[in-house]
Amino acid sequence: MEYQQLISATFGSNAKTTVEQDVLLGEFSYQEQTFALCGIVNQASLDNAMSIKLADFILDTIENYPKRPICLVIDTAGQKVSHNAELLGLNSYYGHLIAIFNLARAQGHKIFALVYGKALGGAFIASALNADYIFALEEAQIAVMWLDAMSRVTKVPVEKLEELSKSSAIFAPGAENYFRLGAVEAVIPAEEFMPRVNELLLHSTDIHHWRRQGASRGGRSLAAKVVDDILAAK
Amino acid sequence: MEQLNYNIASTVAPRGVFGLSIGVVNSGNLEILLLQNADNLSAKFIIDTSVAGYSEIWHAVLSDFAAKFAIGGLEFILHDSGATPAIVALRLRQAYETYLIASANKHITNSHYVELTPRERIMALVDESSFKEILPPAAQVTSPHLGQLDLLTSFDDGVVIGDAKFDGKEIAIIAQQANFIGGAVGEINGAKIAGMCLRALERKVSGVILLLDSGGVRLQEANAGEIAISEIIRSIFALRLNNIPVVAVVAGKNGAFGGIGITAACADNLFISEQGRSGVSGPEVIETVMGVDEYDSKDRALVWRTCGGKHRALLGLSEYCVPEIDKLHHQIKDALDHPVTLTLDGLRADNLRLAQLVTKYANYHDALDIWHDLGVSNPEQVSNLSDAKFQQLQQSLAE
Repeated sequence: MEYQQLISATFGSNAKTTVEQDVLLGEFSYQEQTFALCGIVNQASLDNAMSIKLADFILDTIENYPKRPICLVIDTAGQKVSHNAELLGLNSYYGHLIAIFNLARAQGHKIFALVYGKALGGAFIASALNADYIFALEEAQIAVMWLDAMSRVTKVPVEKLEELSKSSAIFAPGAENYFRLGAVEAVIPAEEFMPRVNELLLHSTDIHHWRRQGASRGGRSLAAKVVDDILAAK
Repeated sequence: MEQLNYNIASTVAPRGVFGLSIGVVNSGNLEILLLQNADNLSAKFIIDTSVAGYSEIWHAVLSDFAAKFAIGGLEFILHDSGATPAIVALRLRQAYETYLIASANKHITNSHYVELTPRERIMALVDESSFKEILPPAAQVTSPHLGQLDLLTSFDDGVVIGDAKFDGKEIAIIAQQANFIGGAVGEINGAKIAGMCLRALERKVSGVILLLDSGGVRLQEANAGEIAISEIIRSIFALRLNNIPVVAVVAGKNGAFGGIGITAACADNLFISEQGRSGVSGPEVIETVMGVDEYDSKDRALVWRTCGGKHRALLGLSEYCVPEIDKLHHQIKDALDHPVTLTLDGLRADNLRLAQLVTKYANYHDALDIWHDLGVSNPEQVSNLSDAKFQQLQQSLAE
C-alpha cells in the first residue's frame, strides 16, 4: 500500500504530513486530541540520516508538546546495508533513536505503531518495536529474514521450515506470528487503528506485557515463565 | 540426532560438587553436565549426539573412563556435536576434575578476557565468591525449538546470568556464550537476559554489566529472538530511567552485531576492544548483499577499521577498552560510578553530534580518511598503535 492511501484510510483528511528521504513527519487530530505522526515509508531501508530525522522529530515533540501521543507508521525493508552506514556506526544511531522513544514514553507520551507494509530486521527493532502498542495490517510483512535466506544460513531445507512454520510462530515471517508471540496487539484493517488507539489512550501502559500475551496466545510459551522464575529466584 | 543411554559399573566416586558443566555445544566439541546418580556403584550416561551410528565406540570410550576413574554415583549428560573419541575422553576427565576440585566460585586469575568462558569472565570480574548464578546449567532450561530442527540444545541456552557483588556493591551480570550458535538470542536466552534486567530493577542494584558476544538474533527462533531483544532493550531503559547504570562490554570474538549491536548501543557506557567489533550488519552480510567491491569481509584491516573499537572510540560512539580483566574492572567501576542520565538536553547534544558525523562523512569509504579529518597525523599507524599509545592519541585529540 502507498503511504498516501494508508494515511487517508487511517487518519482521514486532516492529517498534515511531509515526506523527505522516505521519512514521514506530521500531525493529525482525532476526537479533539492532536497526535504527532511519523514513520518510515516506501519500503525504505533505515539509514543514519533517516534515524536522525526521526530522532529530531520526537525530541521536538517532547520539548514543544508535552504528553502528546505519537503514532508511528512503518513500511521498511530493514536496516540500511552499506559500508558507509556501518563505518559511521549505524547501531549507535539506532540506539540513540531508541533512547529518545524511551525518554518520550517516560515523559508521558504514549507511542502507537502501525505496520502497514514491511517491517524487517534491525529497522523494526529501531522503530515500531519501541511503541507501547503495535498493530499490523493483514498484508503487513513482519520478518527477521525470509525462509529461503534462512534456509541458506541455517542449512535447514526450506521445505522443512515451511512445514514447521504451519504449527510454530517462532521463526516464520508474518504479522499473525508476531501476534501469537505477543508483540503485535492485533491484526486489523486500517480504519480500526484509531478507534483502538483512542481506547488505549486511557490505559496505563505496562511495556513488559508482551511475554504474557505470547504465553496466553500459545505462540511463546516459555519466556514469561523464565522471567517469573528469575524474578522469584532466592 | 540420536540419544544413547548407558549404565556402567564403577567404584564409588569421592565427594564433589554436582551441577557443574564444562565444554560447549559447537562443531567437534561437546558439553557435559555432571549430576548425581542414585546408584553408587554405577555411572549413568545420557548422550544426545548429532552424529548417529557410533554406539559401540561410545560404549568403549565410556567403559574405559569408568574403569580408570571412580565415577560410581555420578550421572553425565552429554550434548555432543561430533567430537572425536579423544575429545570426548578429555572432556569427561575435565568434567570429573571439575566435580572433584571446583567450587561454583572458583577465582579466576587468567587475565585474558578473550580466552575465558562466559562463567570465567564473570568470576574474574566480580568480587571473589560473590556470583550466584540463576537458572544454571543444572536447571536445564533449554530451547524447546532447536530439537525440531535437529539441533542440539545447551544446558544454559548460551547465556549465563546472576547476582554478584562488584567492588562491594550488589550488581546483576550477564555473559553471552560466544560458541553456542554464535551467541545468538532465542526465546529462552533472550528471556534470561531481559528477566535478569527486570530482577535488577526490582532489587534496585547498583548496576548491570552486559558481557556481550553475539551475532544477534538466533535465526532458528528468529521472531522470538527479535522480540526478546526488544524486551531486553525496554528493560535496559527501564533500568536507566531509574538511575541504575547499564554497562556493556564488547570484547569477545563475535563482537556485537544485529540486534545485539543495537542493544550494546543502548547502554550508559559501551566498551569495545579493537577485536570486539560492533554494528548492525556484519561485514559478511554487506559483502553478500552489496558485493565485494562495497565491502571485502576478508580484508581484516578494513573490517577492524570499520567496526572495531579504535574507530568507534575515535568517532566518540563508544569507549576503547583493552580485553584484560584488571583494566576492564577499572573501567567498569568508573562507569558504574558515573551513570549517564537520560535527559532531553543530553539527547539533543547526542543528536547534534550524530547529525554532524553523518553530514560530514556521508560519502566517506574509509576510516583512514575520517581519522585524517579528525586530526590524526598518521592514520595508517592507528591500527598498529599499542593500547597505551592509542590512549595518548585520544587524549591529544581531545585537547
